[in-house]
Order: sequence, then C-alpha cells, then structure tokens
Amino acid sequence: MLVALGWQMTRAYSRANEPPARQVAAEFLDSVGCSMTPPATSGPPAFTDITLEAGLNFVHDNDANGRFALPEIIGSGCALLDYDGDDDLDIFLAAGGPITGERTPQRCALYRNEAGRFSDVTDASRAGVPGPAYGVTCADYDRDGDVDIFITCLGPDVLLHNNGNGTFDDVSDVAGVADPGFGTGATFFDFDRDGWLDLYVCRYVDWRPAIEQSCFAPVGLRDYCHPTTYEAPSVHRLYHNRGDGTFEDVTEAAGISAARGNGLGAAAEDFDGDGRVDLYVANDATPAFLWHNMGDGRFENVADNRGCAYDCRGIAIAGMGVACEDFDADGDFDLMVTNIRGQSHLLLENNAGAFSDISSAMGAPRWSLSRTGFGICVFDQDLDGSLDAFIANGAVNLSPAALHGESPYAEPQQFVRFDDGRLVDASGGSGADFVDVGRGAASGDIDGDGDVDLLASSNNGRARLLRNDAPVGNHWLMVDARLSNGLTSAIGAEIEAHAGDRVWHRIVRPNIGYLSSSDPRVHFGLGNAMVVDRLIVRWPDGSRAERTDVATNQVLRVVQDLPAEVVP
Amino acid sequence: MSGSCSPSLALDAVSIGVIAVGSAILMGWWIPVASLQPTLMPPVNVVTASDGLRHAEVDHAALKGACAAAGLPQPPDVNRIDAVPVDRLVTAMNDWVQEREPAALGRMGQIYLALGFDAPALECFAAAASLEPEPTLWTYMAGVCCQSLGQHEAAQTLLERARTREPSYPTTFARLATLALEEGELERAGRLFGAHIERQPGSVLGYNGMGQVALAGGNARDAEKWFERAVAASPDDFRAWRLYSRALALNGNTDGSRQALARAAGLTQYEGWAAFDERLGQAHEVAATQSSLEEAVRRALGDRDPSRAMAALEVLHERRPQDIATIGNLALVYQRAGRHAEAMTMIRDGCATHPDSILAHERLADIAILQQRFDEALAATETLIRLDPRSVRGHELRGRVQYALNRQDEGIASVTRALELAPERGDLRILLATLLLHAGRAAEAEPIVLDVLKRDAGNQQAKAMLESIRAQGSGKPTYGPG
Repeated sequence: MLVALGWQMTRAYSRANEPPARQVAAEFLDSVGCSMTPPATSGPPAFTDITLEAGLNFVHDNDANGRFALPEIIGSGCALLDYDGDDDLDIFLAAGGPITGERTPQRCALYRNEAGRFSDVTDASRAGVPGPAYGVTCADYDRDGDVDIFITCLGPDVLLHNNGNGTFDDVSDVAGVADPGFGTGATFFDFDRDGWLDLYVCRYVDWRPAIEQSCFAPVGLRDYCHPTTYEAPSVHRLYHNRGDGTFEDVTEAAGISAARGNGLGAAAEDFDGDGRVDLYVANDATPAFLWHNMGDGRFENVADNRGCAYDCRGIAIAGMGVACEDFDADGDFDLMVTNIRGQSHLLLENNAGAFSDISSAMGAPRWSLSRTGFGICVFDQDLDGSLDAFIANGAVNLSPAALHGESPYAEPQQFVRFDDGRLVDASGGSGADFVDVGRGAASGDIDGDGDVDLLASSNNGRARLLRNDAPVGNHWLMVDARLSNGLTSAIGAEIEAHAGDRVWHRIVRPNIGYLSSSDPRVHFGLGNAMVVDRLIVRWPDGSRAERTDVATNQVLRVVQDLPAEVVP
Repeated sequence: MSGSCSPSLALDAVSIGVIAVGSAILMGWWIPVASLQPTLMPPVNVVTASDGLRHAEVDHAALKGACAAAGLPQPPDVNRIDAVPVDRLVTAMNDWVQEREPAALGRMGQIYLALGFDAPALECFAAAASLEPEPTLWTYMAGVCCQSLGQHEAAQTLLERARTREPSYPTTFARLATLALEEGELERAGRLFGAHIERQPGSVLGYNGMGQVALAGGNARDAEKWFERAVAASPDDFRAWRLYSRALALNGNTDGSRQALARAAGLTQYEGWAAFDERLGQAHEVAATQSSLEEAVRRALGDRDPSRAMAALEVLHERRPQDIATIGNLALVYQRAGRHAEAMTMIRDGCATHPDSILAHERLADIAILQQRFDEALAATETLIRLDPRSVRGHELRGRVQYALNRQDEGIASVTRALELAPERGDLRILLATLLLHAGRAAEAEPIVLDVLKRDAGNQQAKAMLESIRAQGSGKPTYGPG
C-alpha cells in the first residue's frame, strides 16, 4: 500500500511539474514559425464604420428557417449610384426572402444621400422591388440622363427605369428582360459598339424547391449543399439593346446557350485588345466562361484555350466576385476572383488575351485559404498609387468554431494591399476586419473627400457603410467620364493617367464585384504626384481625347466631344 | 496492584501511537496527493433532436475547466453537434488526463480536424508532435493543418521533418512539392513529385504535379506527356483530363484539346487532399463522423461490395434516421442484396414520410422497376414529374417504364422530353435511339445515332447501332461519323 501510494504520489507530482500540453503546443508552433493571428497594422484604422451615424438601417432577410435551401446562401448585392443627379452617391440595397411560402416579402431599399445622411426614399421613389432579389446593376440603359437599375431575382428579373423626377417604374416586361430563373450577377456593356448598352445576366443553378436535397456538415448537422449536388447549371442570358427602350434576347443567336454554368459574376473587357468587348464569367464550381466577342453578334467560349476556365490545378473554382484591374501595370486588365474556404482566391494575369494563374506568386493562398470570399472592391485606399482590395467574406457552410456565436457562417472581412508585387493581408486594425456574413460590396467616394469609401451588404445581416480615413498628404484624381449628352456615364471608356514615370489604367466599369454596382467615376491614387502630365480618354466608340497638366485633388468631368470641367 | 503497565497494554499503546502518527503522516501526504489527482471531463449526454439526429450535451464550462486543469488546449463549445465524435473526443481527453499518452492528444487532434475545428486540431497535433516526435504522424498532421491554413513556412518545416523521419509515406512528398510549386521553386517541385511517383507508381497526383511543373516552366510539350500518363493511369480523374486539354491546346492540338475536355465533363469532381491523403480519412474514422460512413459507402459501392455498403448505410441510417437520401440508398442496397420486401417497405415508408421528395420517388421507381412492379413504378415517375416537371430522371424513368409496359410511343415521347431538358446527355440519345430501333423506327433513330458519333466519334455502342441500322437498309444516304 505504501509502495502504491508512493507511486501515485510520484506520478502526481511528476505530472504537476510537466508543462501543460497547450504550452507545449504554443512553444512548438512558435518554433516552426506558425502564427494564427494576422499582424495588426500600425497607425489609425483605414476605415471607420459610419453606418448608424449616416442613418443607414437595412437588415437583409435571407429567409433561412431550417430548410437549408440553396438561395439562402447567395446573399444580395448593393449599389452606389447617383440616382437623382445631384453629384453625390446614393445607396440601393437588394432585398431578401421569402424564397418559398407565403409571407410579406422584404423590399429593396433606396437611400438618398443628403449631405452625408441617408434617408429612406424607397416608397416615394417606387424602387421597393419585392425580394428575393440578388444582383444590382446600374447604368443609364436608355441614355436619357438618369441611371436606371436592373435587379436579378429568383423569378423574373426587374428593370427599374429612372423617370428623372425621383421615381422609378418597373419596365421589365416592356423592355423584354423579365426572364424567370435564378438571376445573379449582371453587367451592362456595349458588345456591338452601337452606342447602346447591352446586358449580360448570369444565371446560377437552375434551382426550384423540388430539387433541394439534404446535406450534412462534418459536425453532423444539416447544412447547405454544394452547388454541383443539384447537377443543374444554367444557360445565361444576353440581351441586345435596340435603342428604343427595349431589349432583344439574343442568347441563342449569340451562342451563349452553348455553355451552362452556375454563374455569379461577370466582367466586361476587351481582354485581347482586338477592339471588341469580351466577357469573363465566374461560375461556381463549374468552369468559367471567357466569351470572346467575334464581332458579328456572336460569342465563343474560349476560356479553356485561354487558360482561365479553371485554376492551375485544373479545378473549376467556386468563383463568386470578379475584379478586373490592371494589377501589373502593363496596360491590359487582369482578373481577381474570390473563392471558397480551402481554395485560394484566383489571380489571372492577362497576356494579350491569354491568362496565367499567378495566385501563388501573388501570395493569395496565405491569407485566402481560411476564408470564403464574395464581394471584392479594388481601389487605392491610401492614395499611394498602388491598388488595395476589400473582400467581403462569409461562409457558405457551417463554421464549427462559430457555431454558437451570432452566426455560424460569419467570418472576418479582409483588407489586402499590393506590396512589392504581392498581395499582403492588412486586415488587422484596418477597421475593415469586422465579423459578418459578407456578400456584396460597392466602392465610391461617398463623402466627397477624394478617397474611396465602401458599402458592404450582409447575408441576413445589416448593410454597412465604411468611411475611408486615408492619410492626408497623397494626391488623387477622380474622372467622371460622360457621353456627349453630358449626363450618361461612359461605361467602357478607358482612362489612362501619366504622372512622371508612372502610368495608371482604369475603365469606367461600375458593374463589377459580386452582385453589386459601384461609383462609375474612375479614381486614381497618385502618391506624391501633384499633376497628371497626360490624361487620355478612349471613348467606347473608339475616339480619343487627351488633356495635359491636369491638376490633382479634384473631380474632373470629361464629356465626349466637349472640354473637360471640374466638378465643384 | 503494581504501579507499572502490563506488556500487552504497552504494546497496544505503542501500536495505537504508531497508527496515529502514521495516519497523520499519510493524511498530510494524501490530501495534497488527492488534490493532484486528475480531473476527468464531464459526461457527454445525448439529446435526440426533432429530426432524429443525436446531439451532444456537455457542460461547456465544466469541460473548459477540466481541460484547463489538464493543461489541454481550450475546447470549443461542442454542444448540439453529433454526439458520437464528441463522445470520442471526451474519451480521448480522459485518456490524456489519466495516462498522459501523446497518442491521446493526437486522437484529439484527429477528431477536432474531422469536425472542422482547425485551431484546436493544430494545437493538439503540435503538442503530440513535441512530446512524441516518433512516429511522425503527429508532426505530419501538424504540417497538414498549417498547409490548409496557408501557413506555408511552418507547413514546409513540419512536412520536411516528417519526410526525413518517414521517407516511405508518399503523400508527404506530394504536399511538399505542392508548396514548392506554389512558391515558384520548380526544380524542387519536380524532384519532390518525382520522389512521390517513385514511392507510389502510377499516381495521378504525381503525374498531374509533374505536368503542372512543366506548364509553370513554359514547357507545354513535356506537360502533355505527363498528363497523357495521368489520364492513362486514372481515366476518371477530371483534373488530369482538363490539364491534358490545356497542354494539348498550348501545343496547337485543338481537336485533341476539345476531346480531352469532353472526357472531363461528367467526371466526379473532388476538392482538396481528401482523395489522396488516407490520413485525412483516418481522422474521420477515429472521430467516427457521418462523413466517414458516407465515404465507407462510396468505397464499398465502388468496390462492388454490397454487404459492406449495407453495413455502413445501416449505421448511417441509425445516426440519420429521417434522412431520405440515406433511406433511399439503403433501400436500393437491400434490393440489390435480395432483400426485396424490406427494400420496398423501406422506400414506401420513405415516400409516405417525405411526400415531396424527388429522391424518394426516384428510388421507389428504381426499386419498383427492378421488382418489375411497373404500374407502381409508373405512378412513382408520374409523381416525380408532378413535383418537378423539369426532372430529367423523371422523364427518363417514365420512358423506360412505359416501354416496359409496351406503351412504346409514350415511352419514346418521355425519353424525347428528357433529352430536350438535357441535350448534353449522350446516354439519353443512345436510349432514345435504342427505343426507336426496337419500335421499328430506324429512320428516326439514324440521325440521333449520327449525332452521338459527331459528339463522340469513338462511341462503340453508337457504331454498333449504326451498323445495325444500315444493315436493315434505311435507304438514306451514308453519312460519315462526322
């Protein structure tokens, strides 16, 4: 008994003096350089959440009630647009459920910017389209001088015509764009260069309640199914603008019906420099499309041949949001596509229309593998001349660690910077790393101080407004390119700014990202350049204008065929 | 009476004194020893939810306290998740508390990993690896966690250690090669993929990797050769065909590229490393997750082992009693195992409890067809189509049943509708052509067969059908295969 007692005592004391396993683990991980916390940025936050003080009060309702229906995880888009033509940005937010069943639908919301406070003018404007709505795409499709709004839905899509007096009318049927189906991302672009904006509409899974299935998370709970579970990719839609307020569905004639995909986002761009606008389409777990514009009204999907159908491993990524910017400053436009947790966001470098997967070279796996990214806004936050990006994150499958929190699908949002040719995570302390089920994101100068602010939508959560608190000292230029009527944004216009030995390229392309629409004015961060030596505008019709010695720190309105003017 | 104690009394007094002193000493020692006794974890209770799933119910505060006392990483809140893995987790925790075996920490890591709790998984593997560097499983798993979290340097270090100590496990080389490829270290990536292939000849992961290295290095010719080997080794690997297609396109072989891409379509897509790293599957087995049962079913069906599939499905059914997919699949397996009555009872009950389930009525149709209960099968397909008018399977099954009931024209119409809904389905074309031929409508079958051959020139079934049609003398001009 004494021996046994002595053995027990020895064992007990020995254990008491052992370092705890968690300490052993921490030391071990430290010894191999493993750090789970992103480094905090020094200095004040880059962004401040001004949602409440700005009067924005919109909470999305995704109609989740235990059915785990696929549309519940798509979320909704948001838009920054100047609907009333008073030179400031207003807000439009897509509404949520009900997806099935009968209850009062949530309605889309329009907020008018009144000197930095936003007033809900939904009812007065008649813009309160009932949900479930997903994508918001803004453009003046009829060139009457007011920006209109196209909304994709689970069911017939909706085109709201801006009457120019603060109200909208639903002209979907008259315009011929009320196609039923699961509409998601859309983009206005002029594919035949006739001066009228045409419309491409992504369709997601060909979903209806009957095909819903039950899927389970590893923790043994019901969860949302992978989109490929349904085996129902869709044909997308292409509408040709007739110029008389109506559209013709040219999906079949243009060859768009040749491919099916779970479409979510699209970017219109002349990727191969042949003078015709092409389309990259991000599909969810089905190969991406690259619709090459053949110039005769037809498109051919050349994604596989051009190296952008899937990533370098041959995987069709869960492509959600699309950004299209000149990341490598070589004069053509590259692509960045957000992706699901466990896979890196995809960065595709454009080489005269052929693409290379440079995700790893850019460092994307290091900060994106543990997140599910949706909305993406690429802009120069600190005006230093290099692009940065805000990514709206939110899981589509249960996150066990968040199971007992406010939402089991919430994730920290991210803010990344281009640094020495790589993208680095600058989220910590940025003010843009709040936890949410992020979906849409739109960018624009909301407060008129020359830097780019953010609007972020949330799946089943509150929309947020983030003010950019860029440091003082660097210079900027905003270019508001308009067609000859002086009112309509020149979507598709390319703007090139030269300052010293640096050159920046931008495109007027508000319909980008995930289900969202941004400020159509093009923004340049110029670092310490105090003047733009040359500003070149290539208009959608191919004509060109150039100005020299453009002063910085101003909004310059450039109207086709007219002298430029400064917007006060 | 004398004034001194008797010897027996003295002995008693001494004995009592010794016992008293000894007890005091023991008490003085025992209390602190007792206080050093390990605190076991609180018990895991099981609560059955309304959907039949059995969830764990654990006093989270007590669990946290017990883990803190045991020096374990902070546990996540495991309430309301699958009770079986939670029970295994707590058992592993108690094993650690009582035995302090690093393997218990490792098992905890495996269970955390399988459930998706990445951070505590990594902590457990790290602790286990530090305490027990040999065998290298825990070091390897810590490296796997770091790789999935984007911690490349740490993953590199840990996987290198695992490779050095255990050079026989092929996947370590593939993981290191992937890290090297992502960092642009092509030469190193090539060497490592090569080492992987040496240890696992015929590995599609290795061939794909070598091909990717070649592509990254701008050598499309070499890449094509590697992907050619990949598709030969694994004709069902969708990545191999896609990457092969890419290499062919880069080398100017447009037709070959298109055909390779067509081969990729319809193949099952996998994601991540689960398809190649058996240690990830082992984690799920240790945790006894429902995913491990699903995988067991898949493997058993792939191995054409219905009894193994049945066993796994029965356990899964017990854990998910109301899941119609499990019910349907189990019923089908019963049917194939000859347990016809059970199969039919099970699926009929499933349809009754899930009247709006497409899957339930599909399975009922499948089983009824196998049992030649064609009227019941027809009713099931009608329900299927009522629930989802665009159900391709519904129209297809209805067509087959109508044909079996000698309602040939209706059957042909149904399959035609299925094909309209899914024009990319070559098998539906073959089915339609077959029905037409049997109905004596060879002239209508021929263009359909030719369409199949135009899309898939090597389709043997279509070639045989064309020969048969031509032998019957359709009287139509001869078409080439396209």
